[in-house]
Amino acid sequence: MEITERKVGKVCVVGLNGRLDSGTSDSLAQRLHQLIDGGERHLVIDGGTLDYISSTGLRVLLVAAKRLKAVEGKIVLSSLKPHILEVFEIAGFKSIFPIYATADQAAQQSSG
Amino acid sequence: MANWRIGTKLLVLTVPLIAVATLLATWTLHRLNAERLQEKLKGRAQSIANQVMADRQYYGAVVVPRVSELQGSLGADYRDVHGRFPLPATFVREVSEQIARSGDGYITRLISPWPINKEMGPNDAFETDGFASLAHSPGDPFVRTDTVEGRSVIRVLMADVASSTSCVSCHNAHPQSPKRDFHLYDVMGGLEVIIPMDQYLAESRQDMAMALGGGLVLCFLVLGIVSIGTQWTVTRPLAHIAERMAQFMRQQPDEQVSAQTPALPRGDEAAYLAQSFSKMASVIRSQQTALQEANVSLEQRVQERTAELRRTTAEKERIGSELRIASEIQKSILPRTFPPFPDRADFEIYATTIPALEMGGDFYDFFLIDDKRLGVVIADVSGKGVPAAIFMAVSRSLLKATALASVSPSACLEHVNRLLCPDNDSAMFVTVFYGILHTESGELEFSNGGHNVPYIIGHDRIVPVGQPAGTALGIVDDARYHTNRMSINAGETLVLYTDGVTEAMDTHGSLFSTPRFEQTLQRLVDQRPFDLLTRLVEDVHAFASGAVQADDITLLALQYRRPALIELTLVNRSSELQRLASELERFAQNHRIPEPDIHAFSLSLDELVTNTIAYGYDDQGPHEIRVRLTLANGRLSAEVEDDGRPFNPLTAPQPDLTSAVEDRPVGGLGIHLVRSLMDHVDYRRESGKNHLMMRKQLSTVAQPKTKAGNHGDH
Repeated sequence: MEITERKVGKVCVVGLNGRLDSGTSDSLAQRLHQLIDGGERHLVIDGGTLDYISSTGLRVLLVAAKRLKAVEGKIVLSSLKPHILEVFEIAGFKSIFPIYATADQAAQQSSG
Repeated sequence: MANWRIGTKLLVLTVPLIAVATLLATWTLHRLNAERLQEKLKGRAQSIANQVMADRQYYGAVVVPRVSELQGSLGADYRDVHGRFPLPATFVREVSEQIARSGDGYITRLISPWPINKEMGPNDAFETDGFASLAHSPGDPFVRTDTVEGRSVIRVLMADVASSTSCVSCHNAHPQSPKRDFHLYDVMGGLEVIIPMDQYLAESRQDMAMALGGGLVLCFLVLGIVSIGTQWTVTRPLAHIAERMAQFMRQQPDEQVSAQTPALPRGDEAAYLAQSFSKMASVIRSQQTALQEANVSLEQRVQERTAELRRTTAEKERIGSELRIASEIQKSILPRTFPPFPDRADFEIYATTIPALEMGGDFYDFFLIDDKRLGVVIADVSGKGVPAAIFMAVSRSLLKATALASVSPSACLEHVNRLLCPDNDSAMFVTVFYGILHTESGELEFSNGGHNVPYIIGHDRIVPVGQPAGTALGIVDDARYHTNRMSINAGETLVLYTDGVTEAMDTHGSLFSTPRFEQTLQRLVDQRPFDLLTRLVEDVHAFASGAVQADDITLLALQYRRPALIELTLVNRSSELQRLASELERFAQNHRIPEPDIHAFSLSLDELVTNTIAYGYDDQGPHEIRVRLTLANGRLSAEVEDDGRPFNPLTAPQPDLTSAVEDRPVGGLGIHLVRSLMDHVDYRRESGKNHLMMRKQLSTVAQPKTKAGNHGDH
């Protein structure tokens, strides 16, 4: 699991590469907490190279979303592969996370 | 001429024939007569000549020497000179002249090429030719028919030989002799005899005419008599018979034929013919009558038989069509769709039955008792035809119903036997082999009720399945059956058959036989069930080579394949999840499982194992978690087995999927994902372990079902 970050304006785009499961979720959770603690309020999770997500991964995203919601921040998703998108749908996460086709589109919407 | 009557035809043919024959005979007779006449006259001329010569001889020998003694002289002019005597030739000539004058009918002349008296020289062609001929052969008289002074004559010239020295000396000495060197026996001249023939010829012609006339008259007389006779004996009777025949032909068949034979000459062929005809006519009449009667009754019988045949045919057609329907129903009782379980890749099955009659007593059957147990049955009802078929239908239904509810094959057979025995008045029975294949292990549980021992065939072995055992069902109501077990290895095939296979006969009455069956199986170990049975049946048919099939032929082949599966034993550590994921990845690649499907399994197993590792155990010690994945034609199944505390995830409540982010509970999504992604999830607690089973139909299009039918349909 590889995590990358880049700033697009006031938006922080977090790129996920590989599997997001019980073995890797903790590192993502720590990273997201650091970013929120560091003052980031607009996060874009770029799933362009995300191969896998389990309920543990979903849990990390939900926790991050709850925190941002409390501070009037926002987390959005982009570029999810179809089978990842299916998991989001089954989990009822599409109503929580706006999902965009590209990271830039997501960044634009998130900052707007 | 074609229309002339026989008599006329006979006359026309006979008259010219007779005329020609008569003419021919007359002409031939005439020729013969002429020849005979010539011969006769020649003989007569000879006699006359002999007479003349004898006279002259006498004159020469007696008179001439006496004249010499008396000093007399000889000369033709004896009338003018006194004391002179006529020469012998003169004597002859003058006697001849007298005869000629007497009208006796012939003339003799003594002539010579060297005449003393000139009148006596040759003076026509006959005489010249005659002397030429005599000079050559003096012994043969020269003969020729000629015409002298308008009369038909025969002329004969005979040699006058110097018969005495006085003749020679006289001629040689005579002053008027033109030749004077005669010797004794020289031809000195000739005697010609001329006999008129016209008188004889006229007589002969008269005879001919009379003969001809008489002959013709006689011929016509005979002809007339024959003609009349023919009329009486042949023509008239024939005409009469012809008339009768014509009358017979005109007559109606039922009219009586006149039995009267007409007045005809009795005893000859014609009469016999007429009588024969009468008999024949009456025979024909009576036969005609009999034939007509026979025709009438025959027609009647044909009509009756036709009606009967029509009834029988209709009946047969009805029975035949009922039989066909029954046969169809019977066939439809047996499972005929192949492959019957298209989503099962762990075994392949094919079966066929070829009844000897429309209805068979053999049957096969197969059914899934549950996911992991396949029941196979082959059975042979005693007898053939409709009774066997009915008993077969009953047996088959009882067997299947009982098999699905039985604990073991032997229990099943015992139960069915008890059901079949009591009401079996017709004393029918059925031999049964019933086996249960455990599809996961390949173990075969089986029980045999008097049936042919099946075979397990594979590359390494062809082995009988158990020993010949058990009693056929339907005979003894408390018969006991036993369950035995054998293992079928992956790739091996269980072959069930009825004795119609091994006892198939060729035209000489030899059996296909068990050894030949085993050899054939040996040759076909590589074949899949359909091909195996198809070729087996071909072999049996080829062996029988057209001999009538005596018994039903039924075969079932069940090929067992090891199911595609992975079995993983994980320990309860999170790091094991990575291994699980990569094993699944590999499995997916090996079996070409579509990405979304393997993802669903990967995620589901991840969720379950993660759950178990995290929450399943009361202690911290190591535990094993077994994961088994099975791919069976189009369907992927997984089972997770752990020895953690009893936990049925299916009792977990549905998570909240709709609340806003701030209210959304964290957790409880794992089980939800599993249930959503799988087609079916099941849980059981067994022997202190949790078993979670799940399965999913793969998203690729399922293999199309093919209805292979069975050979009996051909």
